[in-house]
Amino acid sequence: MTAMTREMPVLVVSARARRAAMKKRFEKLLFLLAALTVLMIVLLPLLWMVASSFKPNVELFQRPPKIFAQAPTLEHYVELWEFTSFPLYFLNTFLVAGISCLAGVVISLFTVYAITRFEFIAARAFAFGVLFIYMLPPILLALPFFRIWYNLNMLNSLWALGITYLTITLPFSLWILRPYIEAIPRALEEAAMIDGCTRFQAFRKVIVPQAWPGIVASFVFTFVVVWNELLYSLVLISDETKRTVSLGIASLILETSVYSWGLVNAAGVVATVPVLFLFAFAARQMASGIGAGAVKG
Amino acid sequence: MGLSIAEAKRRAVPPPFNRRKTMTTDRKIGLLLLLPLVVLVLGLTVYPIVQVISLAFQQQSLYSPESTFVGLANFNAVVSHEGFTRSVSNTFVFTFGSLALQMAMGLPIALLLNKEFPLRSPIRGVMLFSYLVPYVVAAMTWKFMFSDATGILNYWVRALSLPMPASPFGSLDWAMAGVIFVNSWKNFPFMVIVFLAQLQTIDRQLYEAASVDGATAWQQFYKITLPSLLPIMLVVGMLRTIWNFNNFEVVFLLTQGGPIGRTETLPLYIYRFVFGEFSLGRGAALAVIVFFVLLIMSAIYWRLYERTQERFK
Amino acid sequence: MATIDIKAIWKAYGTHPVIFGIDFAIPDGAFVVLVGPSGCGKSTLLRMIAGLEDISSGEILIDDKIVNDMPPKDRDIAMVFQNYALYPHLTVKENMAFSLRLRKEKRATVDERVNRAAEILGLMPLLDRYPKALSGGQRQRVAMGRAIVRDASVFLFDEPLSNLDAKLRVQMRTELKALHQRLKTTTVYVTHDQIEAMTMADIIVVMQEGVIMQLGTPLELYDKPANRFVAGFIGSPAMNFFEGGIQAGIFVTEGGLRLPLPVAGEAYPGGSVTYGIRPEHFTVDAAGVPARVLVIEPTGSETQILAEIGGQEVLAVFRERHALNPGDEIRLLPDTEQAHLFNSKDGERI
Repeated sequence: MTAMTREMPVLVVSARARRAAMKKRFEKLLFLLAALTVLMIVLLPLLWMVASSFKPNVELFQRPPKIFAQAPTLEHYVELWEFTSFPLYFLNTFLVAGISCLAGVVISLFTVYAITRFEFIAARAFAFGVLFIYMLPPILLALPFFRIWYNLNMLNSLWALGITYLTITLPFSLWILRPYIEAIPRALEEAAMIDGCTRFQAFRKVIVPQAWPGIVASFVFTFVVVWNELLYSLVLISDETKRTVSLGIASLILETSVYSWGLVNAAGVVATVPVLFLFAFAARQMASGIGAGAVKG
Repeated sequence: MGLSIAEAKRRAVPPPFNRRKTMTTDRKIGLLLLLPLVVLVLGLTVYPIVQVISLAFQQQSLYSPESTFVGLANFNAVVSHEGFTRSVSNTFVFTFGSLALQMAMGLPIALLLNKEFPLRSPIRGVMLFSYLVPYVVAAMTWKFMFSDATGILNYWVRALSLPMPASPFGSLDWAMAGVIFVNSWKNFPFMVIVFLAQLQTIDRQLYEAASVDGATAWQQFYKITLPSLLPIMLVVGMLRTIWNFNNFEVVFLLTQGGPIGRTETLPLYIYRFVFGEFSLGRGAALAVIVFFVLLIMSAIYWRLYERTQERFK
Repeated sequence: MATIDIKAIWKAYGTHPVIFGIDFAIPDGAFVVLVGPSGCGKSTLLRMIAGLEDISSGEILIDDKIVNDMPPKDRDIAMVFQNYALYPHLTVKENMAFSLRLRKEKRATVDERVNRAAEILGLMPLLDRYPKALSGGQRQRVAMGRAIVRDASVFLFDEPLSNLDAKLRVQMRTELKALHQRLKTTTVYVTHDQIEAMTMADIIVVMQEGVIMQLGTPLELYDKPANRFVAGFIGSPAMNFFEGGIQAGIFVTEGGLRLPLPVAGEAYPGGSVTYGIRPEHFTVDAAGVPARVLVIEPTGSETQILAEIGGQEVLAVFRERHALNPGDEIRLLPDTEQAHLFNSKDGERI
């Protein structure tokens, strides 16, 4: 050990190199500070919402406003849970988003699979055309949808709302899923079919597991979009018991007096949590995707 | 055994290839898989669009089944309506004001987040929060912060006597700036994500080569970063233009088009026609106009995009 | 164990044919190699045997049963793909057990057969790994293992070695051959590499543009190529060709180069003729034709010489060593008995 260290050449770190390293570290710190500052623009309003949701009404009117509550309270959350229809709105939104996102992902999966495996040229063009739906002004579609559901006597139906949301979820999940499915080598399915799978079994045992990160991603992203949507629910839903969360909060903002800000903030927090949670989950799922190594490449 | 190719091909008598016969069950499965999408697109897009176009030519109240064909009367009515030019100009100010602010926030922040520093990836994640929260939450927080008696920003504007109104969403001169700001705050992270993804595809060796050649940081940005971002900037610009143009939620929640129509954009104007004045035909006529304006703007972007693609080929 | 009969097989996309009524039979236990340049239809033919591609016309029989409309899973075949096509979400063991599980085999049977195959291929220490953690050669072995456990009656290989580096390719070639000798399963193997074909095949089928150019054992193809294409395709380095005609029992090129004829050619009536001679069938001899040495490439065991004869570049290979330098004038004598004559018009052997 000692013999070895003695034989090692002495490494001279020049003052210049040391200064360069220092400068680099200083730069990194500077970037971190800048990023944190920028982050505050995003985060502060949301943190303020969270902080305010725990303040008793008296403190909400305190001037100058304090950032943190002196006597934190859950009263707004209790009120939201017990005296408003928000629990119902949550259920409604989960139902509507569930219908439209699940259907959107499944149909997209079929479509993308069909156009990538069977080489229908017209179908391919058609599927690209579907992306165009996403560019249409929602207000343009909202008018005829109002008409259609009114004529079918399905205004205030959550099913009708869910089906309407397919105009959002379908293009979105088609767009997200396509590269995932295209990246799966055809040989993989062929191998499965030779190994004894029917086409359907090959789809279930090879394509679905391979596309899983994409399936999760499109489900999560469309869920978030539908969860956040306001216009269609505003137009199609007037029955108070059929509101979605967004519509519920919108009504609170537009209809209620200044005295209920605590409640509104609590509602905002509760509406935001599932979105952030789902997003974190999706990010983890996609990162752990086992796509590599299917074929040498 | 063994023939020349020409000879073998000549001797082989081709059987009749029947195109229809080569449609196997497998292909039928493929077509079956496409069916749901086709049905849904016809039902959920094509049919509604046809409806809206035909409504635009009819006298039609929201809840009544009767309608009469009135030709271009609806178009004439909405175009000559006093609110039309106002909402068109509001829409353009809102759309491009938001686009400019979103770019101005998105590009530098993307460049910053592309640098190396500790905690970079969690910061990148949290930066998306404002994009992920529902519009109602975004609108609510800003409305709350500027609300009289309870708003923190409202208080500080007064306390520091800043040269702006304490409740900008109710101010004639500041309401538009307010909605543009909230729309940009909500949506700039989209730009950040896309720009970051593009920045990561730029070959680092380009920068190394440039710095060996003696290029300054500004020259590197101008000569390498910006050109490689330009095509994606146009694509994102087009998407955001369309989305800003179509945006209903921000304005509806913050100002509902007010004060006195200062922030009323076309989607709100249409909404007011249809659900305030119950004139479905006029709303539809406006919607058709909006649709064509968007189509023209998309075409312009597409031309620009193609031209940059040609230049960088 | 199975025989395969290919009867008048056509493949067309729309009305554009790419395979032109191919016919041949594969005996039980044979190792057949389909070889040809890319786009010759060899892979399409293999995929038709596998059931992955529709047959436009004709019949394919496996063990005397027509399989045209039989889905791949019922044909009792195993296939190894060019890119291995391992299931990335399954471990090596699960990959190999996949087909057995589908058949609902007993757990003990599955384990036993997977272990046996893994033993043969030296995969025992890798059984719990995922494909992405394997090297190219290991993935190749897993793909083979997946085929072996099936106990299928036919093995199909679609360019299985083309993604490996040169050294590994030679090694896997030997392993594959040994495996076939051990299992004696009827095998159809597609490759564009004629050396693979020569070293592994019992029967080689040379294809070009959707047509069989020649079918035979490796040595038949080498010794008696049926046409100019096969002559040029089989053998490495490739055969040298001269264009010319026959005058009074001697082959003469336009440039006036005269070469002695093999016995078969002497009675040939006339017309333009292609004279083919393999590089290894030259000797340095005073009785030969004049040649000027251009490049000398010794590999140790043999020496390749690129020379110019009658204004044309010619390659010759010698086992013995000659003290030569570029620019030297020498005389090269072709071994007349090993020369091949082809009709220049249609390329057929004379």
